[in-house]
Amino acid sequence: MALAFTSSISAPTSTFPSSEPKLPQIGSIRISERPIGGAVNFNLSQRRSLVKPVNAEPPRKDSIVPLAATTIVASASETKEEDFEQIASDLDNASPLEIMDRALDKFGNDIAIAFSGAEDVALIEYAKLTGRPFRVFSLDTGRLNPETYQLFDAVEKHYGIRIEYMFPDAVEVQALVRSKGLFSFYEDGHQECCRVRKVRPLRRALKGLRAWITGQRKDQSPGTRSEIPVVQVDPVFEGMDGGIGSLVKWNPVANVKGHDIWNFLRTMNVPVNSLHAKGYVSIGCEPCTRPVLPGQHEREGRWWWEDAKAKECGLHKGNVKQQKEEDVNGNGLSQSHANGDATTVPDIFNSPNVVNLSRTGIENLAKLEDRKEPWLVVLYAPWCPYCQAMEESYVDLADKLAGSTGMKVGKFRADGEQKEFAKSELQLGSFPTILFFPKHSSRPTIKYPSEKRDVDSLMAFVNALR
Amino acid sequence: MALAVSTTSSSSAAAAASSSFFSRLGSSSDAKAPQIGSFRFPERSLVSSVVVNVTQRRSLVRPLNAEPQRNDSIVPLAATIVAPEVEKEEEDFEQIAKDLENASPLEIMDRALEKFGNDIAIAFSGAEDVALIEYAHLTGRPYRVFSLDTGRLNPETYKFFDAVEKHYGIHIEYMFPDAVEVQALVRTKGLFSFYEDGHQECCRVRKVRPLRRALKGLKAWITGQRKDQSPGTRSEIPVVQVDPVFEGLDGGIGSLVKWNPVANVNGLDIWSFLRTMDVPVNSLHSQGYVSIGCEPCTRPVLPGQHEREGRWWWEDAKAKECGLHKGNIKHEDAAQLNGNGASQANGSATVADIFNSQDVVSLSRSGIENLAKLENRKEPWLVVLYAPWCRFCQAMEESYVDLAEKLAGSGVKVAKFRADGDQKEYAKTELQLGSFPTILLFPKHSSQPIKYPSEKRDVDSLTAFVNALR
Repeated sequence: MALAFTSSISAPTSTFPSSEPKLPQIGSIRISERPIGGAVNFNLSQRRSLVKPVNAEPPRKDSIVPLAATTIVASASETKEEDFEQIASDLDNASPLEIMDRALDKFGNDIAIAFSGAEDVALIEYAKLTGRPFRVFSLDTGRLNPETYQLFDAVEKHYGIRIEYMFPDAVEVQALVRSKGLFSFYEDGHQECCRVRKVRPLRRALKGLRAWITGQRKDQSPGTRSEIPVVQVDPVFEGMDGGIGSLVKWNPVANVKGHDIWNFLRTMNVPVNSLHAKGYVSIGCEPCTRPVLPGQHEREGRWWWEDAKAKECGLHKGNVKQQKEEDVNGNGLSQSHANGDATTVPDIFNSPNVVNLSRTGIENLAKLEDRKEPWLVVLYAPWCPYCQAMEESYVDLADKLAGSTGMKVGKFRADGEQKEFAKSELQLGSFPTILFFPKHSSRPTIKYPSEKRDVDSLMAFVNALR
Repeated sequence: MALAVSTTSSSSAAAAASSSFFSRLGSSSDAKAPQIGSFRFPERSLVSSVVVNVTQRRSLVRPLNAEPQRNDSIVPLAATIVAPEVEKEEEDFEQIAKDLENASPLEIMDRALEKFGNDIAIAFSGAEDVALIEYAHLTGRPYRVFSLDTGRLNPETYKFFDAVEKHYGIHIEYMFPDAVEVQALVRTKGLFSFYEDGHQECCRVRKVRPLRRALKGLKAWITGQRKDQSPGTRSEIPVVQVDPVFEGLDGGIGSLVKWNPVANVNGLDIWSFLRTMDVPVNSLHSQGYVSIGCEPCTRPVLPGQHEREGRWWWEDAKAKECGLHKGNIKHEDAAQLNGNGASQANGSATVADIFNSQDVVSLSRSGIENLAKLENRKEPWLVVLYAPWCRFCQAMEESYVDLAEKLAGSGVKVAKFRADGDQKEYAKTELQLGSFPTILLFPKHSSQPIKYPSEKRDVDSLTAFVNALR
C-alpha cells in the first residue's frame, strides 16, 4: 500500500543580524513631520515597511466587518489611542503568535504584513499558523539583490500567496538619478534615495490600510528599547481614513531576540534569503548591502548551511512493508495495544512524563474545543529506526516540560491497524510525525515540519506555539 | 645647469574592464530562460518603408518635459510641416543613407549630431553599444545619452553606467518604468512570469513603454543595431532611416529619425575598437556574458569562441610607459644635456636614434607645427612623440616600423618627432605629450589630433586605431 508523501520546502541558512559600520546601512530614520499628543516619536525601520495602494484590489476576502469609517475626531483619537494602549499592556507578555492572531482578528482585510525580504519572513509564518487569511506587501525599490527577488518568489509559492509589491514613482526616480547619478547615496547619504524608493511608496501603500504589521524588534534599536510596544497608534503614517490616528501599527516580535527568530525559522522550515548563507546579516538594496567579516554573527549561517538533514521512514518505502508483515506475523489478530505486549519489538518512549494515548484518548484530544493545556504528541512505530533515534530527545523533552510549564507530552502508536486512522485524521505521512495540539482549538493542529528532532529544536517549536 | 621639469602625467581616465566578443541575436541562447531579443512591431507601417526589428535593450530617450543636459547653437528643424513634405523628408533620408553607406561610424555619428544637435540622443543599453558614446565623444560635438533602467538590471550594469558617466563627464538620462504598470504586472503574475509565459508582457512594461515616452522628447535617436546581430533582416538596417515604429517630438508618422552608425560593422571590429580606445566596458563580459539585459534574463554562455575575447582581454597584461614625473627622466635628461649641448641632429645624440626607416618620416619642429596647423591635409598622419633613450619607445620600435611598412602607399603617412630636450615644453603644451611614447593621429579633416589611449603598441592594435579613425 503506497502513500503519496509531500515534503515541505527546505530553507537555506540563516544568520544573526547585526550592522556593519563601513558602509551606510539603511537603518532607522526619525520622521518628525507629524507629532501626536501623548505619543513619542520613534525610529522606523524603513526596510520593513510596505503596503498596498488605495486602488489595488485585495487578493483575498474575509467576512470581518470593517471598522466604522467615520468617527468624531476627538473621541476617535482619544478613545482609539487609549484602547490600543490598553491592548498593548494586555499583550505585553503574549507570544508573537497570539499578537498576530489578535491583529488579524481585529482588522481582517484592512491589515497587511510589511515584508522586507529578510528574517521578517517569520511574520508570514506566524500569520499562516493562525489559520486566518492575511495580506503581505513588499517594497520593490528597483535596486534589490537578485537573491531577494528570488526569495519573494519562493515565499509566494511556499505560502500560496500573492505579495502586493510597491514600486517607486518613475518621475521621482528619474529626477534623482539624472541629476545625481545612480550611486549618490555613497556621497551624500541615503536619505534622499530612500525617500524616493522606499518612504514615498510606503506612504502610498499605508493609505490603503487601517493597520500594518512590522518585524521591528527592540534588540535592533537598543537606544529606543522601551519605545516599541507590540501595538500602537502609528505616530508617523496615515491610514485609509486619513488624519491622526487613522493607522494602527503592530510589532508582534518587538520583544523577541534575533537569535530566537532564527531558531523559529529553522524549526518551522521557513524559506529564507540565500544572502544570509553568504554572510549578509542585514538585507536591503544591493548597493547598500555587504557581507560582514567572519565572526560570531556569521555562525548561524554556517551552522545552518552545514547541517545534514535527518532521514525519516516514509510509508511508501519498501522497508515499511517488510516491517509491517513482520508485525502482523508476530501479533496475529491480536487487538491488544497495551504497553509491553508486542513480542517483536519492545515499546519506546517509556517515561512517566510521556502519556501513552489510546485510540480513544487521541480521538477525544483531537475533538476537544478547549483543552486544559496544549499537547505535544508523537505518532510512532516502535520498529522505526528514526523513532528509536529520537527516543532519548523526546523523553528528555518530556522531563523538562513536566509540571511547571502546563504542557502535556504524549505518544500514540500509529502503525498496524491504527495507520489508516492516523493518516486520514492526524496528518500521518511518515514515522515519526510530531503534532502540537493548541490550548484553544480555534487554531489548527500543527505538524512539526523539521527533521531535526533534538531537544533544543523541539523545545523551540513548543515555545513558539504555546 | 638644472632644468625645471613640471609634471603632467597622462593616464587613461578609466581602467578598461575586460570584454568579450558576441553577436547578440546570433549567439546561442540559454534554452532555460528566454533571451530578450528583437521583435517586430506591426502596428504602424510606412509607405515604401519596411518594418524593421527594434532591439529593445538599446532604446532609451528623455521625456518631453525633461530639461536637456547640454545646449548647442544648431537651429532646430521646423516644428510643423505639411503632409506631402513627409514624403520629401523620407526621400531625403533615403538619399543620405545611400551617401553614407560606405562611411565610417565616426562620419555617420558626426553627420547625425550635426544635423539634429540637441534633439538627438544615443540609446545606450549597458553592453558593447558603449562604442556609440566613444564615437560621439570623438566627433568633439556635444551629445546626449539615455538608458532604460528597468528596475531589474544586474548590479554590474548599474556600476557600468556610473563608470561611463564619469569617464565621459556626462549625465545619462535614465528612464524608469511606470509604478502602476509594474505593480499591476507583478501583483497578478509574480516577479518571474517571463519564465512561464514569455517576456513580451514584462518587456512591454519595463522597456517598450518607457522607450516610447523617451522618444516623444526627441526628433532623432541613435542605436547600436548591427546587421550581424539579425542575419535574417540583414538588408533591412540602413545607417539612417525614418523610424518605422516610434514617434518623435512632433508626433505622427515620420516624426522620428533613427540612425544606426554601426549597422555595417562586425561585432569583432566593435570589440577591437573598444580595446584600442580603452573604452570602459561592462564587467559581466569577463564573466562570460555575451548578451546583456535584465538580470533574470541574462546568463553566461558555455565556454566557446564567443568567450574568447573576454579571456584574451582579461588576461592581457598592461604595458608600462615613461612618465615625465618619474625620477629616471631627470637623470636621463641631465645626461642628454651634458652629452649634446644644443645639438638636435640625428646620430649625434648619446643614444642612437630609433624608428629609422624610409617609411617613417622624421619631422622637424617646424614640420610638425605646420602639420598641426593644417585644416585639410592630403592624407592623415600618424606621429609618435618619442625619446630615443626611453626603453618603452625602444620596445615599440619594431612594431611601429612594421606598421609604417604596411601602411606605405595606403594613403596614411607615418612619422616620428623627437620630443625630449628642448622640444619637450612645446610638445607638452601643443601636442598633448604626457609621457613617452605618445602616439597621435592627425585626421584628414580636422585640426585636432587624436591621442592613442592604449598602452598596447603591437602592430595589430595600432592598425585597429588607424583603421577606426582615418
